[in-house]
Amino acid sequence: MDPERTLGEFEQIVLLAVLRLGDEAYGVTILDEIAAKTGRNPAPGALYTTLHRMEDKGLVTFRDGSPTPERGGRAKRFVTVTREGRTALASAQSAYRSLLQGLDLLDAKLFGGAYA
Amino acid sequence: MPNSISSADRSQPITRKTQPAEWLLARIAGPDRSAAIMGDLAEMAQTRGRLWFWMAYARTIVETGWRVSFSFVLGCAIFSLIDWLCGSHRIWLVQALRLGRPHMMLHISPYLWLFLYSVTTPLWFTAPFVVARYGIRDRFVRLILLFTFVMTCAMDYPHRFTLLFVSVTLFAAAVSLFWERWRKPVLVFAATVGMGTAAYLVISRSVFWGFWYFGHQYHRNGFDGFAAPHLILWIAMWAIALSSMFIITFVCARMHRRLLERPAATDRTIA
Repeated sequence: MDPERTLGEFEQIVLLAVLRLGDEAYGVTILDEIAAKTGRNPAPGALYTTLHRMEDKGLVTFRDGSPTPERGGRAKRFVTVTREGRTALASAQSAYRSLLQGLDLLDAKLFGGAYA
Repeated sequence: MPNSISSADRSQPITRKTQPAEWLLARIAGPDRSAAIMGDLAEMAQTRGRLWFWMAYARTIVETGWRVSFSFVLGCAIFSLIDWLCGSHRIWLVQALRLGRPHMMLHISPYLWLFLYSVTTPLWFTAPFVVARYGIRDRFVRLILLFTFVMTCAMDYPHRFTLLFVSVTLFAAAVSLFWERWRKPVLVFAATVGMGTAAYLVISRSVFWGFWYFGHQYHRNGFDGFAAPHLILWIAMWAIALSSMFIITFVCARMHRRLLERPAATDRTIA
């Protein structure tokens, strides 16, 4: 995979949430983690579309867990970030850090005193 | 770890009536993905309610399925455009694209013409469909694009058809044999093109033999000639095209999912 491949903002959020959750990352916990840490409530459909797209790109892989009664006997599908996914995420975050270098986001001059 | 649980455990009210919904989602997202999605929605619905479950399901269907629908419509649109361009009234456009060179199609065997036409015509739907559905990075898509280009050229220059066809076939066979990363894409490609051609050939021949039979009966009853109404011919042509397109879509999606999309690992395989 191309390490320079760009990731969308939501893709980065999902990858970070999956990394934070470790072995417990599946649809429900990822949505909860994103809601808890970002205050956003993404639609489940948006999450699945993003996860499947990243699977096709080789950024994440899935493994089936055990079926549980509260899921109607269906297995959880746990997500793991691949090495390519980590590389792409690191590359995207590095670009953000480079752009942020030298900027004080709370600087009153930049935001018209809103944060002064 | 067992892969299924007893029926008593499947008694959650939100999941009892979702089998048709899961079936529909499986047609779009695949059986593994749809089971996991339905499981997640059922789990979340325990605290959010039945209405939330169905709203989330509807949004998931739309967000997951729009690309499939869009790809199909795009394929139909491009097919129609090429079909329209090749119509007798627009032949000057094709002639202009050919830079005034004479068309050779009338000088070849009708069987070769039928074969060429049956292979190439479904490709005019397949190529845009797979580009929109799977993206240009997919090796199978690149093979389809290359083959569509070669076959379209072969239709226009049939005297070079044999050379081109043999070259591409040998190339594909060599790649599939010696380069493992291309083996599965070539298999999906062969299945899609083969089924598309077979479907188009069988369906179109059946329909036209039907027209010939009715025309023959009409003639035997003492009428002069038989001319099917324009509308019926138009409907027949589109029925042929759409049937082939559905078969191509089905075979392509099945083969692509089975051979080119990564299956999820299980707890057992991880262990």
